[in-house]
Amino acid sequence: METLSSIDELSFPVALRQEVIADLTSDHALLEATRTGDEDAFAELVSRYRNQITSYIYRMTNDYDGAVDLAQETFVRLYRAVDRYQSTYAFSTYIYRIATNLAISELRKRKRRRLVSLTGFFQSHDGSENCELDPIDDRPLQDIELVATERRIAVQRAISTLPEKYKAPLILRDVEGRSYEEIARILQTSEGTVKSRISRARDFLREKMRAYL
Amino acid sequence: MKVFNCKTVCREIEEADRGQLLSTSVTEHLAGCPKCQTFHDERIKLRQLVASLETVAAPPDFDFRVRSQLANEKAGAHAGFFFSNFSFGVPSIALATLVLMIGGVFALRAWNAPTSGPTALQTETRDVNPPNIVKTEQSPLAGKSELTKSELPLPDNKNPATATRDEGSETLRPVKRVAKRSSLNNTFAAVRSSKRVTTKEFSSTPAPVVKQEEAVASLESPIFLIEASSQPLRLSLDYSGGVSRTISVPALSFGSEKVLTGDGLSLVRNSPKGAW
Repeated sequence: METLSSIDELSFPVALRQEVIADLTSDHALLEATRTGDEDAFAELVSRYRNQITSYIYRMTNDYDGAVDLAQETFVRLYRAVDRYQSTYAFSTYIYRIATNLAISELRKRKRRRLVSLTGFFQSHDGSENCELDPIDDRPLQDIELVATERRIAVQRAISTLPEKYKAPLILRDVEGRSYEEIARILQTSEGTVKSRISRARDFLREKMRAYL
Repeated sequence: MKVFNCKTVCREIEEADRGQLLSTSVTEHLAGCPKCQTFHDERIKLRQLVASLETVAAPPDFDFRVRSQLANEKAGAHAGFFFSNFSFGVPSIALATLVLMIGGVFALRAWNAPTSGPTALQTETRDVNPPNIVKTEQSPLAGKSELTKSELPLPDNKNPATATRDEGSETLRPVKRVAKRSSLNNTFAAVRSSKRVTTKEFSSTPAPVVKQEEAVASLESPIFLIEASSQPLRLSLDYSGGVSRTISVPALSFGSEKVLTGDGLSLVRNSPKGAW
């Protein structure tokens, strides 16, 4: 019997062929391949989600290096638990849940340690380090890009000051653009709770960002 | 008919997706309600601000780092091959500690209570019961006594173990000795029945006196029977002319005492620990 070199040789209808291709490259298919020991499939998953997960954890922790470490840990845990994964929900829900748990654990550790950066007192206001939310600078700005950058930094700082339970749903909803249903699955809570927490988070944020509104 | 109040409108604004158009009724309400219009504008601006946060890119060597971390974990798992199949969490450690504690308690109790074990009970039942004691002690001795009595040319055919010079006290002597033995065994039982190991001094207890000058003199071998007791052996030697010497040998026990029987066999009995 002649072996097939590509999926085009299967002589499926076009729609069905596209569906098969999509299925072969879906997250679930990649995860199944990872389960059988396919390292390349896992590498594909990593390349698909590395930026999203790193960005999400960075928004949660406001610490880039820590976010990268936690994102790595997320993928390592995913690899370890690949046999236990159940494809009931979307893969993104699963990986975001791992990332959320890691980020929340890290935030709680920091709260217990109450780390205070000695260099923070001497940091310039370029936003490279955590510091208190500053009021808006009323001086006229020269560059639009600079304004946008400063605004983003202010938003990031405001988000980082949010209580832990409001932070994750707000980021998932307003930064990541996830649906309420998916956020509820990621956070393992009800949709009503998610909506309530997002509303409260926006109220907090509005108070902190009043100068920008 | 659905009534659109401010609360309902605010909820719809709040829950709307990014870029989603609001319903006609909400739009109409916003046109006539400045409070809701302000809320709407603030929320839109706020969401735009938050959404303006760009996606942060992972470092270029992210994949390499993940792979190396996984490789390190695999290497570590191979290094500790025995424990690689176990996941040591807090519950498993707590369970192991509990098992160790329970085992330690049992071991400690077994160590501290040697007299409460089945061996001690067996010894106690053998020793405490006076009829059994008399039987077990008398039966070999009695046999030997009979044998000795038949072999030895004793003028009065007395039992060497129980013989005395006084004829009148011959019938009373065994009863008295049995009473003495039972009281001694009761003391043993009292000592053994207590949980703690105790030591009792028996040197003050009077031992039965065995006077066997005639029997000893007639024996071919200088072996004669004594009671296997915990009491000291007192040997009185009467020389001619009214001179006598008494040799007292204290009772010694190293955990067991040997009772010689007439047939050459020996019966080893365990005595209670610490009592002699």
